[in-house]
Amino acid sequence: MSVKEYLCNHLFSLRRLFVVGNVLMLGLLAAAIVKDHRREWKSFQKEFYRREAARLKSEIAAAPENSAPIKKLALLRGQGIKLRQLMVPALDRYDRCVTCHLGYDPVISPTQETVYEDAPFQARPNSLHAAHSAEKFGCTVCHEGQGLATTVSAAHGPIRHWEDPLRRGPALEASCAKCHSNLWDENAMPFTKNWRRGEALFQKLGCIGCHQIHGQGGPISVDLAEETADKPLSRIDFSHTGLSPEERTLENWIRLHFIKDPWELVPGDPEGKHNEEPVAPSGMPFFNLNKEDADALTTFVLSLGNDRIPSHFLARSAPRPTPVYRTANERGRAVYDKFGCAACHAPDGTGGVRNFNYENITEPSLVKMVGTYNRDELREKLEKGVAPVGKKDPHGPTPSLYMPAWKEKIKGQEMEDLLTYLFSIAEKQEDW
Amino acid sequence: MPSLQKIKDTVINSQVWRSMFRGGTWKDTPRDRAQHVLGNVWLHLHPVRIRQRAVRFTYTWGLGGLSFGLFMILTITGILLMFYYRPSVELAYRDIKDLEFAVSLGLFLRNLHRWSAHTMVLFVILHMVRVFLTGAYKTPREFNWGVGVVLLVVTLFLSFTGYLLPWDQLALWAVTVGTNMASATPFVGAEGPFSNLVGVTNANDARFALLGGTSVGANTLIRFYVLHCVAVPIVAGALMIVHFWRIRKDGFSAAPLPGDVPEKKMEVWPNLVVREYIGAVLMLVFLIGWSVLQNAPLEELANAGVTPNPSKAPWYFLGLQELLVYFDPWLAGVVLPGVIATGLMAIPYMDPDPKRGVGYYSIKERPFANTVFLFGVGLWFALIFIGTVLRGPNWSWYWPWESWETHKALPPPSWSLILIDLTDKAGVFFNSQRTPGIRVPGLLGIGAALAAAGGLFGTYFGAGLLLPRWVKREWSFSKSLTVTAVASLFVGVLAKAAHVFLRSHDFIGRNIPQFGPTEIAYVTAVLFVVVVIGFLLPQKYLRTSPLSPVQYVTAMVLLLMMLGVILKMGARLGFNIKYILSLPSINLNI
Repeated sequence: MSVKEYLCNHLFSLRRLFVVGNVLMLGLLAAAIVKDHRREWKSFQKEFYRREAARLKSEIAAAPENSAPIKKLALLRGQGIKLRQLMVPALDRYDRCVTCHLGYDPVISPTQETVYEDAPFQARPNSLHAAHSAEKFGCTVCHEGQGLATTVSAAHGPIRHWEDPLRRGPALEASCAKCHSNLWDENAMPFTKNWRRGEALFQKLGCIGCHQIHGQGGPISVDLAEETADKPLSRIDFSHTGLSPEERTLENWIRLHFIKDPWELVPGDPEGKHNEEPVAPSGMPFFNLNKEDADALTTFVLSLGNDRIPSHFLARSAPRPTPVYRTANERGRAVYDKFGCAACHAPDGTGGVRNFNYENITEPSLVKMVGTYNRDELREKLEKGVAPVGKKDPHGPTPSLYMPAWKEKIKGQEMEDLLTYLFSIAEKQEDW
Repeated sequence: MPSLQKIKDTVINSQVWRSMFRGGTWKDTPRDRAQHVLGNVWLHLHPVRIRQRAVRFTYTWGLGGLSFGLFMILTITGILLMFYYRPSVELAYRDIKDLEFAVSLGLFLRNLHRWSAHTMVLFVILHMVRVFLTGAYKTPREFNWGVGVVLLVVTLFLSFTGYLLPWDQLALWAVTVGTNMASATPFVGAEGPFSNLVGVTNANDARFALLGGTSVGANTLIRFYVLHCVAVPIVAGALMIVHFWRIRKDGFSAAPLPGDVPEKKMEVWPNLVVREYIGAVLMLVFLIGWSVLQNAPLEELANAGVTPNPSKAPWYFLGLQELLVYFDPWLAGVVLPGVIATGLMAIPYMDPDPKRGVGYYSIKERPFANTVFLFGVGLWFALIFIGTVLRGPNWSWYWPWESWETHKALPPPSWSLILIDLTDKAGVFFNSQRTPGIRVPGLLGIGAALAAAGGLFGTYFGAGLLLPRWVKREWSFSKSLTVTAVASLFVGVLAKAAHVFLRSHDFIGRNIPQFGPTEIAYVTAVLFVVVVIGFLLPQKYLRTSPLSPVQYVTAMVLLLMMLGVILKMGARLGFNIKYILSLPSINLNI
């Protein structure tokens, strides 16, 4: 028997192919149906119903006259295994979280409470949930994650192609800013203390000196509200972050700026290998914050995002009181903070922030320099700025940092107060 | 207990069963089996009896039938998907998510639809290759081959229109890249040459008609939905009816062999029908298995503000997208595909001997036709491979083992051999991206540049057309292959020597910074391929063939254009020559 004959007439005979093909096709079709039928969430629901039935039965046995557990058991038995979802068309949220987190399902668990400690069955009443009913708000408008998803990994993330993973820890506070504009108010908003810590850091470090929030701020770097807080992941170059693919989230990207050297994170192209002109590394100082501070500042930056919440969801609150300063020095210090001078010249005015390929290596110390000017000279210097700054290596990249012209931004009394403050911290010059 | 056979007999001889199938009591005679095919509206697409040779799986590989089978699978899964899908930008993406997470078998259905669509594109192409190799396009089947080429284009368009419907980033940008080619059409595309002469802008051009707007948006989605679900399937269905009917009328291609060799015939019922059924079942096994194991891609929600880098068209158009590297968009995206489609349809009309090599794999009888055709198909898939696998961010060349995160160094600046500057009236030679080349101002420069370009292209096409007929000598093919290889290597080394000699000249040193063994190998390989396919083959086989002058010129021009693509690819990839001839005022960039 030749090989061909063996293959065609014996091993792959028509009869065999017919039988094996049909069996395989029906088998695979059955496999597809079984795979589709065995969904992750079903086992969670079954487990929940099993536990609840056991618990309620023992309650009924202990106190047969009590009708509440009997009713509850009847309710659960009537529910069956099914997808459960909270639909909030006004917010464009369709959240299937309660398919597994049955303790928060308004029908199954109107009190939003279970006796279980383990996920996904745990549920505890809390004042925030009480103030934001699940029917009106859904889950993901605050917690983020993929509400439509019904698997653990796709719903919580991080997962590829869904850029809003579950917000955990301090970052969750950023969601409050979607509707509330008074996160600064510790009496009205006691839960947003990380946000307040982040905002205080934001002001102290002078971030606004380089960044803008909705167009307000220094011109050197990106607008944190318009660009950073909603940045699509495909626009982020993660190649220098050292993050594994599953850690590549916007939250981690922002946080890394505070705990990793920005020169490593955004190294630019100082030798002009990949671009026509050399590009300096990030101008951002290396803040090296501790975990709590980094989380807080990340929360603040995330809170600047825009989620297109309908206006009737926005919470009304009293306007923030403007602080009152008594002396010109205090007012000047406030101007120093308002325009973020600290970013380059340090919170105490001693300067020393590095600037790649800058002729003087680091940004000047105001404490040392201001005394060499008189008041009019210094005013002119602030109004005109220094741009471009001198290069150390003439063929190297343009330094990222420079002194912007403040003429249009710091005017009148603010300028005078700032000058007063600057001279107050300056070292006195010896008379010659 | 009655035996199975007895139950079967009772059923098929019952009045109910017999009323459904014409022909009276079933006695399983040849007459019954013939009647079964003739009397059944679906089966009578087949003849009653067919040559044994045609029934063989390895003759057709079942590709035409399986393509139709895939069309049926796509119709059924498509109709089921239509129950869940709403074509609006607010809902489409969410409905696809619902298919994945909430609808019973929704994900499976979408996977099956997606993978069947890819398979159909591939099978239709392979079906065409099979038909070519078995000479099945020859008289009297020329027209049906043409219908087949149109069906191939319709299949691509069907797949392409479906690509947008999930409304994710992949969909949006693939369709953006694909439809941008329409805007490069001469006259009717806003970016194409001469569009300003006829008042065509981006608000009334071909792309606008396709998109229902100036960019991919809500109107595009509804347009593509209607095209995908209604309009194109109707066209495809109508053409398929013609295609199948002509197969019956023209006779199946496994025609009588030359010399009227007596051949055994088989009854279609059950011999062919069972084979067709087995083919369909095995394909379903493959597709269902694929759909269980791998999910169809779904990226982020479509966002016109975020361009992925790179943005790629669907895989079957990536060959064309890769051609954009070498030619101006209207040439790469409109003229070349047009030439390919019309060239394919012209093939049956350029045949010197309609009787030769029909109905079997005829490599020996038709060495020229088969080699050139397979070479073209190979080139097409090579371009697709480059575009799919080897192109990364900024359309840079990335080997499969290189991460797309490695930042690529800037490529050396590209340059043009001849540039005709009509606005400033000058001819420029060896013009580089960064530094100007030799500029000859005025009409003299334009004339010189035109003469150089005319000389270059004239020599290529003139020599290509004349040499195969003019050189009368008979060569042994293997010997001439060796000679060509040695000669190509010699030219490569000669080019190296010329480079050493000319490197002192600023423009050569700047434009070709190095000329090492890789470059020599490049020159040798490209030259070898071009000479073998473009000269040796036609010299050996077309010189003596009874092709009419029109047929010969058409065939050779198509062949030379195909080889021109190879030459240009070699020039671009090996020596950074962006364009051989650049005439920016009319976007003529070759």
